[in-house]
Amino acid sequence: MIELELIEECRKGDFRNFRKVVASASPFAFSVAFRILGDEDIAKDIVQETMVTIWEKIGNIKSTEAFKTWLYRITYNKCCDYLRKKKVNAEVRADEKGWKFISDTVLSEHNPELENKEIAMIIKVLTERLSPTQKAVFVMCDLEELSHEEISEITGMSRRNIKANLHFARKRIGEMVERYI
Amino acid sequence: MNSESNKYERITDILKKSRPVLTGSEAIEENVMERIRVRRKATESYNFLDHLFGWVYIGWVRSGLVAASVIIIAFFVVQQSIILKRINNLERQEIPINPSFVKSVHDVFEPAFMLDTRSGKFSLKGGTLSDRQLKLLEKSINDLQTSYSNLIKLIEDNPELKQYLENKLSEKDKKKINL
Repeated sequence: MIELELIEECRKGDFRNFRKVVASASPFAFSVAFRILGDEDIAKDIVQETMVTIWEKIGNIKSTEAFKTWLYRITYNKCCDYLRKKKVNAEVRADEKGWKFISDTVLSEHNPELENKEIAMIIKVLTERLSPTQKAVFVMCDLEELSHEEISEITGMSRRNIKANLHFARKRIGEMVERYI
Repeated sequence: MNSESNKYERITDILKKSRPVLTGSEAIEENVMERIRVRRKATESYNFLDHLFGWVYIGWVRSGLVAASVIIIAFFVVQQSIILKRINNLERQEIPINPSFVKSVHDVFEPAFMLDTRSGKFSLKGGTLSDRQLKLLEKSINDLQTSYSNLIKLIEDNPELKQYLENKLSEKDKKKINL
């Protein structure tokens, strides 16, 4: 839980409790970054960069209520920058081992609590044929459960564009689920 | 289609419930605070330069002025160090005093005088002369030189006296006093 009082203090230039802000905001940034990138170490780097950017620009946010959306926006932008820089493999092959794991997980009776490695593998396999934007919209809407309005604020895309990207992402993932599970 | 959407919902449900766990959060906090400290230092130094050249609004001109000032300061420091080094070298050197003075002193005293710049005294055959003694010596030599010049002038002005002296000197030792 992010304490709004601490955000307000930092917004006014008092950074004595900024470490507490880092402690409370990091898990949210990490969740989004990890689910978009599928790599724990890179996600941690993104979290650190995000926190430094927050320290630099926290005075610019209009209200403390907007902090969480702003935090997601910075994280999203950092992830997009990383994905742009990273070379994308032209050839995408179906990861049979990954799909076997997903199949076992889906067909099991109980709801398993997955570890970071397993989450990363499932997301990677499911989203390997999606563009970075589709992937980000899928993560934020279907996994982080953010509203279209919030996603629009975070990504700067129109709602129609978000719907289109989400539709395409769900369709692709659905097709793959049908094919491999 | 139905089974496809069921599987999709099932898998997204599992992923929603399994939130990624951030391990090593303390290390992340520490790294963030360290990065902030570094940035703060960099910002402070930038602000100083910004304050100095804040009146220049064009970025590259401001950078140029900063670079020029750094070069000028570096040049000044190098020049100063060279000058100081030369002064130190000169201070260490033993400088012979005015040759004409030495020559005239040499005529009166046998030993040669050397000025020791570190102590400010002349050495005299192992002994030393104080500043006061030196001034007295200089004064007496100057007086002697003046008297000598006057005498020479007097002799030059009077051809008869000159001739007389020459004759007298040539008789004894003409080499000693060369008129």
